[in-house]
Amino acid sequence: MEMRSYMARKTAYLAITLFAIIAFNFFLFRIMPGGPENVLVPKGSSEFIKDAVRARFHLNDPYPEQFVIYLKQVFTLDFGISAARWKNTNITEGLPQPIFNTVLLVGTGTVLAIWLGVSLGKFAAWRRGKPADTVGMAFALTFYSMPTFLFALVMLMLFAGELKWFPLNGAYGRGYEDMSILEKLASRLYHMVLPVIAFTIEVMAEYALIMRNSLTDVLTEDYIVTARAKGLSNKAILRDHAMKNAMLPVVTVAAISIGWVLGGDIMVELVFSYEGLGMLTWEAVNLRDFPLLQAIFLIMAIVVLIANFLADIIYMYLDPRVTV
Amino acid sequence: MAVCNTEMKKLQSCERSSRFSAKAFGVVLFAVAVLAAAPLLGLMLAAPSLDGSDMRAHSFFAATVANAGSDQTVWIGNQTVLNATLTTSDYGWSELYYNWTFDDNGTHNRSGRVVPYSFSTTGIHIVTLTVTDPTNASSTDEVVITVVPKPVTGSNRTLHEGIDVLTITFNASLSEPKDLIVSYEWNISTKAGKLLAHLSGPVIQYSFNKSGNYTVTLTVTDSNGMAASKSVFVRVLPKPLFIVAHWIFTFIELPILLIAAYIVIGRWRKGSGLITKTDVEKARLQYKTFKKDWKIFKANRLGFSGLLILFMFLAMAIMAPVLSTVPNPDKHEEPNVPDPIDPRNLPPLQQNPLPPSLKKSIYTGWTHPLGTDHKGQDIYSLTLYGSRASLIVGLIATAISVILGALIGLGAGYFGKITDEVLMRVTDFFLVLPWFPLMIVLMAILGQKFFYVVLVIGITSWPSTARIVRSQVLTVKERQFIVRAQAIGASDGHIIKTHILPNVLPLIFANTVLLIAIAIFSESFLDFFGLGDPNVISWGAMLESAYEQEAFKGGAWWWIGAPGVAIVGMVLSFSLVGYAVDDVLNPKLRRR
Repeated sequence: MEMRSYMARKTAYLAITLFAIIAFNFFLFRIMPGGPENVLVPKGSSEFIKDAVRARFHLNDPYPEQFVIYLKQVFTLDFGISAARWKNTNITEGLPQPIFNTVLLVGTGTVLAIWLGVSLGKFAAWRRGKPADTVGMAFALTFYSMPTFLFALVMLMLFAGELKWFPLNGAYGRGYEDMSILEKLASRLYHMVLPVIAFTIEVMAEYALIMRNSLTDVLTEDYIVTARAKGLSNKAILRDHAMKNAMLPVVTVAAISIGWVLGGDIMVELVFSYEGLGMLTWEAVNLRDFPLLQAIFLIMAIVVLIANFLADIIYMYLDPRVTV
Repeated sequence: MAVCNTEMKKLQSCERSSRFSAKAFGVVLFAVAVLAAAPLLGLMLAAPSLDGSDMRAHSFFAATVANAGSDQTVWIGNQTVLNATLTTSDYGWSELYYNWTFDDNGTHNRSGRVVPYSFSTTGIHIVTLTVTDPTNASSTDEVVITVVPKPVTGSNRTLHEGIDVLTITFNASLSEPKDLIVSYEWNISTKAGKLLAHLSGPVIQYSFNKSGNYTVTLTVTDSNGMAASKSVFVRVLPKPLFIVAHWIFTFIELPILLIAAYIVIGRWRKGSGLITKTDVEKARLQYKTFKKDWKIFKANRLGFSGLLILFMFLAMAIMAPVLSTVPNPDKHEEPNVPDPIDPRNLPPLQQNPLPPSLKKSIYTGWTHPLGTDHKGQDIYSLTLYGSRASLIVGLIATAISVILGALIGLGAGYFGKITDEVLMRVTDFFLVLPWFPLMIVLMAILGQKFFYVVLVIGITSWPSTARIVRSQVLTVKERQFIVRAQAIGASDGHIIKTHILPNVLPLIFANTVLLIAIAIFSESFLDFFGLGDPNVISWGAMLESAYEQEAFKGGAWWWIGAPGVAIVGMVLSFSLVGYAVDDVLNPKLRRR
């Protein structure tokens, strides 16, 4: 019963926040200097496109009416016309491909990062104060302090520019459309290696730091001493007693840091010219394609919101003590 | 440059259509003849073609057809090029004789396939091309060259409101032909097309009293009735907002001055001296705690080395003009002195970056210990100057974020109930928004100014501070001395000011230091993304130019390495100091 009401409350908050994000996205592009006309209607385009954009965004109507129309459009996944990136065509048609590419990169990278980060954190925490801990944490701290684009740039220079082991840019090779499925897979994998490594190491550093801190905390608790006194093996203490509690902060932080993860993803995609959402953001900014930018921002915000919601639910299952 | 007057256009098109119909008629006749003759010809030619005789002899239908090219409109005095290369003939063009006849101040003849010519009178000139082939058969074609007067308006201008004089003199007296121009008409309109003024005369004056983009169109008419117009664009930039132009004053100096004035006036009104005995006692106690904390801090080796690195960066930022190997950009008076920091005045010497070397470069004449970039700017000096931008952004953006976060956290934590609920929902909302994309969107909308970089980083990073402050306020609020203060009737403002703030602020200090690291990180990200201020030297912008010029392909490691090491060093040292301060201020963590 309690769990159900907790879920209901969380869902209600989700709905309210979702509405707030859509409203924020709507007003952000309208209250800025120069007004919506300046922001949404592309400069230097022909009168035909200008009229089309004005009609598409109903810029001649009062704001409340515009907002209702915008809400309707968002819920029917209609993001309007791209001003410059895909000249005068519907944004919704162009989005699936970049989203797929980004999900591939971020998905692989995040899974690897969590697995490696948790392992590294565990390794360092168990050897607290020893050289292995110092080296591991110095490694993690350095990568945590390093902007992702810098690390990606160094990797690009070393492995693509100097050694020429990997391609310099793109999510797949030339002539991708004509390849067989196996070739497509190979081409994708070959192009994904460097971006995934760059992304994974950057995100991994954060998880390693949190895991190490959380586990060192848990290892000083009394029940660990009790377990030790019972004569349990080190492995059993770590696996059955310490890790279960130490994982909780990792789950929370994993949810909160999705905004951070997205930033890392944008940088990695930018450096490797990987055709995903991050690259698209950059193109939209450079071309001053505000309708597209608006759509991308909305998608990113909603993804983060849903990820937070899921993390809350997972947290509740992991930690039954959570009070409602 | 389509300059034309309507009357003439009509004339031209009418003439062209008549010529066209004549041509069309010829083509139809030709086609009919060919169709009728083809079977006949086939029979006739079957035998001779077998023995491979010269084919040209049979093509007696295809004569030479002259083509004088398309009609043109030119300004007087400008050269026009007459081109007959579209002429079709069975003979090679070197075998043909081309003759052009001009009716400009009498009749002139020129020969050649491509002929340049300058007209000396305005008007509609018909040029006749006659092409004669070796068999003396000839073909003619005509081309209409419209020669119009040449308006001279001067170049486009950009004015700054508040700096430049907004009254501009336009001088068209150099327009040609000088003696024959009868009228100068000026139309001044906004970019949207709204006509603001209509003036006439060779020299006019107009004041642009509002910022915006203007088009000034000059139309000159000469005694032959030929007219031509030309537009010049005037851009009047608005006066920058006071806050934007003097943002350091507004955000740092003014608040400090106001706080100082508030304290001094408060003391003066109470009638006590500026420094009382209690102040001395307080300072002594604070010094004592500080000494104790410093001892703990010093024991933390990582934190201490972080602090040392920070001092190094601070020294770099302050002494950049002294330390750099190239002249100081601030001291340049003459505009044409080549300047390795300001790219605008650099000579275009080389495309490739120079590698690090301790010798004087033969290209630039300066030492480049860390090499140069593609423009020949010194990487070492740029890295030194870049530390200024990072430190300023780090400190001021964090100040904005801490002030915002502290206000909201204090309000939520102290007043509780509905205030807490509303403020925390707002905080959660901003915590959920992905802040890198949010920064990108805000910067894209606001525009690339250093002030906006600081502001955007400041207002996107406050939610975490608000949460921490609120939780600290909640624990402090339950303490006995707050309850006692409330019992003797102290006001909320007084309690917050004298009891809560002093107990909360030190605890969020560690968080503040970590925020600085994140702000510097964000600034370099925005610069790398291409959204930073292009006029500010920063590490992110250096990396961006290295990436754009593909330094990674050419192996210019110094170009990526120097700013890269600097960013990592600064962010890392702030993080280390932050963790160490956390260790000192939150004793609970110390057992780790």
